[in-house]
Amino acid sequence: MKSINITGTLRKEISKQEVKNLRKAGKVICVLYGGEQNVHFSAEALQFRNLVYTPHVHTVHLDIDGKTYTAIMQDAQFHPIHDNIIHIDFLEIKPDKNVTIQIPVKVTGAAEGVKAGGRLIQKMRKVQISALPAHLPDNIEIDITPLKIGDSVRVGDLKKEGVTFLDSPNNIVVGVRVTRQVVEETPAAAAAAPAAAAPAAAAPAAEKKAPEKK
Amino acid sequence: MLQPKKSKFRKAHKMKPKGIASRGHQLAFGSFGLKSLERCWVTQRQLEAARVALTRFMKREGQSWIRVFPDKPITKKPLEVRMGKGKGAPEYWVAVVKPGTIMFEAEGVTLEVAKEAMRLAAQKLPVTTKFIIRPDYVA
Repeated sequence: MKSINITGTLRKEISKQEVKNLRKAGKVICVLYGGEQNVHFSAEALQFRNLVYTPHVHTVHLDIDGKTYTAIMQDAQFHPIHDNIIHIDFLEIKPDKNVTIQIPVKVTGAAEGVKAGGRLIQKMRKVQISALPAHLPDNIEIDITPLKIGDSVRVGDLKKEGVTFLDSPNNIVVGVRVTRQVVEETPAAAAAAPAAAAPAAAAPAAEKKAPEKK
Repeated sequence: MLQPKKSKFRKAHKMKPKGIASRGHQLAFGSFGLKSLERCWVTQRQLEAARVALTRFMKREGQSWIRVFPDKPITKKPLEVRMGKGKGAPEYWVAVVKPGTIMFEAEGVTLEVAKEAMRLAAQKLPVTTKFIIRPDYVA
């Protein structure tokens, strides 16, 4: 997994006034937990640009007054009106302890169903996984090439070494749906085709196999 | 038009919405949204007009969500009636909107289409708004 370095300074006093002053100075209030003790610190808001405003997930190397920690971003809070980052939670990770994190889904290939006029629907942008830090992937890649119209890939179909998927196995990640145009064309095509075409049309449906997953 | 199926009380106090939105200020469904920057009462008619403008421009592609619901009854006294003799009859419904509330969300269309659709919808609303995008959005 890619990583980002963030340099911060410990907060001197934990008070509302201090928070206001830090935010006025363009800093973001942060907390790091999951280790021996919680660490309250602040860091320049600009440093978080590549961490927050991106679809990718990173591990974070925090340098707080000379002491280093490895963590993941657990939560980010935004101002209701200005949408500035106002607070970030970090979770310290240890090499021997499982981490629960949301990983983006990357769809590759061109689905057969889309070529036939269907529409690709991605229901989930991220999937929740649990894994040791060494096994954390950058993304979950799904090859959608064998997907025909009406087919879908569910969480239960996903497999990756060292990774446990925590979402419900029945949840659809990506699928190919029938569009209005395809529905309209189907009755017309069925009327034009001879009666003998009916068994021939049934054969491909029988061959329909489960899509290939990674 | 949106309105409750039933209500516990026919008439409600005016009240003054104070503060900024503490809920409904983050995108929950779509990638794009329309956020209010002011406080106001948005009537059911305004919401419907905005929804029509939004979906017409999106040409029934994608999906849109209305994140506010007009659940506050507003009363009105008949014309040429002297003051007093009790509160008027319920006339229409409004949604109470605070600064920061997301009113509409959209998904399944391009950024340009969503932006223009939200601009057209915003013209039907009585508040200044801003167009927002999901932080991890990729075109």
